[in-house]
Formats: sequence, structure tokens, C-alpha cells
Amino acid sequence: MTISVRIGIAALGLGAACNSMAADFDGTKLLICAPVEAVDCTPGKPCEVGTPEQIGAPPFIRIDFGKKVVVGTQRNSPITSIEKNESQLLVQGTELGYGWAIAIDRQGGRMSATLTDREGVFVLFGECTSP
Amino acid sequence: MSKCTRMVIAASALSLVALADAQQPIIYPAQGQSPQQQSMDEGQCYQWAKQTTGIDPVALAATPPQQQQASGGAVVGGVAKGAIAGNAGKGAGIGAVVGLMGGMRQSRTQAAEANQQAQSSRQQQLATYYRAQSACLQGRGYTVN
Repeated sequence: MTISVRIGIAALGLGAACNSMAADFDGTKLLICAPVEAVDCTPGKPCEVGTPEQIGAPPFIRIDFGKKVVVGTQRNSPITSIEKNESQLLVQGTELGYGWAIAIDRQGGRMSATLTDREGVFVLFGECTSP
Repeated sequence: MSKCTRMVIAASALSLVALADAQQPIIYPAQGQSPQQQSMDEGQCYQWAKQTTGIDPVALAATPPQQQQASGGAVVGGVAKGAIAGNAGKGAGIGAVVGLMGGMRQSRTQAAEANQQAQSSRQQQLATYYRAQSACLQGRGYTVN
């Protein structure tokens, strides 16, 4: 097998893997997102950066697109809006007096999330995967 | 141990406190008191001010205010059953997205306020003690600022 054929096969394989990964984040499959970094910002003070555990974030956020709900261990949070484009999924909702928004990168599954109330904003960064 | 030795030890301890405390007044021997006499006077005034105010700056410096911490585990355990995400007592449970963030922010804020109050109380106690010490030293002919 020539080198150029090998490179061609590798490129095809990589492309397939990328497509498969991108398909995980098309807004149809259940996603499990793990916050890795958490930030708490309130007015007049520097933002506090910590682990999700230190800030009180859930260890996993399970997004069920089919049922339009974020599934928790004790309660579920309904999804009020899902917006898709080529680069990201944007999911929004409200829970316990907070408005939340989760943005998920459609290529690699990177997650950025914010939760806002009158006192301030929580920001979470993490990764999502399809189980 | 002689009374004189005790006074010198007390004065030395006080000078250590002074190193850690910017509130410590500056004492000038306005009537030409010798350093030994000043040490004696400071030691005696330390005893007097401590007795009068009930505040011992050496002990206060040795026990800095205990830091209140809103550490994860302890707060999670306490908050999970009641005050979560600002919904205290509603039994809302742990939020699917919110988790315990609201309750833990509240805990962190309360801990910070408690630390600030403890620090402020310590400063007030030291100020009271130094007022008494200054009065004593001024009565012995020192200029205190």
C-alpha cells in the first residue's frame, strides 16, 4: 500500500470519527455534561473561581433533548428553548429562581453555562459526552 | 521569678504583639526615663491595662480569629435538606442545573461576614486595651501617640 493511499485512508477514518463526534452533539442524543471549572460573580467583589464542588455545582448535568428536560438527582429542570446552528447548541431554561443557559460546542462537546439571578452570575465550564 | 523579671517578660511579650499590630501606640520617654525604667513601666501598665479592661493583647495575638469556612462537604450536608438555591425551607431539592450553588453562595457570604465581624471585634478590643495602656503610661510621664 502506497503512502498516499494510507494517508487517504487515515483521512477518511478521521473524517468519519469527526462526523460521528459531531453527530453526538446534534441536539438529538442524551448528553451528560461534567462541569470542570466554576465561577461565582457577585457585584462589588472579585469573582470566586473554584471547582464545581466548591461552588456547589452539580457534578453532572444530563440533558435529555427528547423530553426537553435537564435531569437531576432530585428534580428535573424543563428546557424552555433549544437553538441549534452549525457551531453550537444553545439550551435555556429556568430553575429555582435562576435563568440558565448552556452552550455546547458541536464539534468537541465543550460546554459553557451561566446561571443568573438578582444576586449575581454563576459560570460553569466543562465537557459533554453522549453516553 | 521576681516581680521585675515578670514585668520585663510582659514588656517583651508586648513588643512582640506590637510587631504584629499596627495599632500599637508609640511611646516616648518624655521625662528622660531609662530604657530599663521604660520596660518596667510598660510591664506594669500592661498588667494594669489588662486588669482594667479584661483584655490581654498577648493572648489576643496568640489566638487569631477563627476563620469561618463554607467548605463543600459540610455545607452540602447542611443545605441539601432545607436551604437550596435560595429556596430555604421549600424542599425544592438539589437543582438539576443549579445544584447547590445558591445555598453555598449564601454560606460563603455568611462565613465572610462572620470573619469580618470577628476581625472587627478584635480590633475594637485592642483599641480599648491601648487606650488604657496609654492612660497609664501618660500618667507616668511618657508621651504616647
